[in-house]
Amino acid sequence: MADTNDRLKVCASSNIFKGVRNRDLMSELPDHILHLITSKLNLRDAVRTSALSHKWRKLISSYPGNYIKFSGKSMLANYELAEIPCREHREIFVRGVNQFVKLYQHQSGHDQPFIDGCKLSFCLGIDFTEDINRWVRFAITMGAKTLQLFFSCWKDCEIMDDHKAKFVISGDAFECAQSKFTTLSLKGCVLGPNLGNHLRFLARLRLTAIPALWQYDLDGMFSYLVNLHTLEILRTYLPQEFCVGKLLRLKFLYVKWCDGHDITTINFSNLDLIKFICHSRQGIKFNASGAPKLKILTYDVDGAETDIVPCHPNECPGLQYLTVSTSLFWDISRVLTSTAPTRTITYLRLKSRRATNFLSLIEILRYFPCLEKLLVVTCSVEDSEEQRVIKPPVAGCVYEHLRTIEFGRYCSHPRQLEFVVHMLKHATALQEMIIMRKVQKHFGRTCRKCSESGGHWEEDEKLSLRQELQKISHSATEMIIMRKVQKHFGRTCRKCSESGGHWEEDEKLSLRQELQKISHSATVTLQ
Amino acid sequence: MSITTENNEKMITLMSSDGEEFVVEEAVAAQSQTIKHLIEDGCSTEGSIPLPNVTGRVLSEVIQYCKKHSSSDDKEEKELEAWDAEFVKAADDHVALTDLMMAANFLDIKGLLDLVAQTLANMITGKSPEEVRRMWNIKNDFTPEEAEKVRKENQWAFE
Repeated sequence: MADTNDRLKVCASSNIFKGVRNRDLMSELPDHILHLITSKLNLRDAVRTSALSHKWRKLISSYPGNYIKFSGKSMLANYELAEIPCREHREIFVRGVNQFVKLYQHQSGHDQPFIDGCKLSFCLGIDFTEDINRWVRFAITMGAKTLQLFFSCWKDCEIMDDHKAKFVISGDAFECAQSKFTTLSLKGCVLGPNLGNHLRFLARLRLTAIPALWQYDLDGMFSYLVNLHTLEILRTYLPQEFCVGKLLRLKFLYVKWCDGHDITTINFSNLDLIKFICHSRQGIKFNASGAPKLKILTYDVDGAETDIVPCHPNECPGLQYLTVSTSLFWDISRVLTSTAPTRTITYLRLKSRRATNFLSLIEILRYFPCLEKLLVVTCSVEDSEEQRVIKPPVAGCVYEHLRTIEFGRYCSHPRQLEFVVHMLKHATALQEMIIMRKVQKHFGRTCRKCSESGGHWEEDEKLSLRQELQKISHSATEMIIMRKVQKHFGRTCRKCSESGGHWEEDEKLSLRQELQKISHSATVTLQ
Repeated sequence: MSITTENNEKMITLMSSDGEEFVVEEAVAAQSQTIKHLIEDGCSTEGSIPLPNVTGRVLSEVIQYCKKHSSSDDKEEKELEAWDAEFVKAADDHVALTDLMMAANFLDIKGLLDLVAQTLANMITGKSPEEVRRMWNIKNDFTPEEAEKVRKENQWAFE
């Protein structure tokens, strides 16, 4: 690196001798490069370059950036220093955006600059309806494909508390929307009348923290959105009957961190629906009949007493990827009403918020004979099963397709080890076995019990486990035993964090030794 | 892991505007879309590829960048970011950066273009127009009336 330093210094100093230092090298750069530089500035700094010279002024007025961001942070100096920034800066912000928009309003023809998208993020209420609508029209006439309108506030300001003060977005703002405009994301505003009327080209819609959505005529709006293929609803109260059947082209449906209205039922009768992710707080059920192409299903709802397969195989004949999190004890009775094994599912991720009974778990696995990847997160182990022994799988139920197993929240409980050993012994095609202390994020929140034991491996624990497992492993199985978990496994439990995500040396060692006792020649990687 | 260390890796020769020759692995040089296209068009078979717009000094920097970025598919992103930061810090002068920028532009290396553009953008973040002009030798060609007009048009940004 020192080399680079020296060489560039030489390079710079040699330019001094050539007299380059006094030349305006920046303005000699081609326009598209200068545009690249200004597009990396925040809006305030970008606009300020227009005061440098005629050349720079022209640069800005011909290209405001690919993706324009109107926000307190990007437009106002000292924005974050204010106690309640939105209240203190609201007028200045609105004036600023209006001024900016005006710069581009009178340009037309081939000179007219184009933008890819626009993001407006400021706590504004109904008082600024006219301004906001003007900005939306500005973005759309500039050719924006994506529009993000965020009106949330992270302080307790007056708009935050009062639903009536919130901005109402109506269809009028989108009157000039063309086929180019395909992505809309709304946050913290009320849905107004005729919103869908001009959005028939919309392909992706995301609604975040929308007040009073349960009162809105969603059916009416959806019936206009004939091209929508992705719908995301986040942090919003859902109506009691939430039906997306009017969205004829819908392929992806995400419901995240929403609350149900008592018990909300999501009905989809969408022939093209491929993916449904429901990751929510409470009281949300769904009815999958009418989505024959459903391939990926995630159902992780707090307190949901769900079956392991939450929909009937006949309803979803193509289901391949299944993720279920339940608050119930795992119990064979939770595997559906039907008795026939599900042959389509190749990917199964199971998480229980309760203590796990491994005997049940193994029985449950019999219903997934074609499984290729299994991810299990256990919160704790059911004490009552201590005395029972895990028997080899019943004939005809070998895990012959299983290639990868991930085991989260391993806390060296003998039952957990027994389960891991069982899987190593009987999953003949296993290639990879990952054992983790902590868990990835998409598994969601941790249980209290786990947190007490502190998410880290004792060094010998890891080692002995590895050794033990290696004794039984086939030569093809690579075992990865992790203290910490990859990011997507997410938050740690308190217990886990106390022991600080690292292996104790002897813990790792003992685990390794233990695993090696059972493995033939498998590779062991300690992470 | 690295694709560049394989025995049968093809080497190509690049020649800078001042006649300096650099022998690099094809995978490294092909990060430049310009060179990649030249190779695809068969320009590399007959001796070296001439790069008339890039001096040897700058080209050696560019090659350093390309080497780092071609061998690090499986490396930590953070490490690469730190390396990038060091790389541009070495050229903490806009003169050296404009040279690098022009080379990256001619050779069409998107990652390097973005990196240098971001560095130059960082240099003017939060600075007043006067400070930027002084730093970059930009001549103020506005009449006082024009200057006043520009400020007025964008008054919010100067408040």
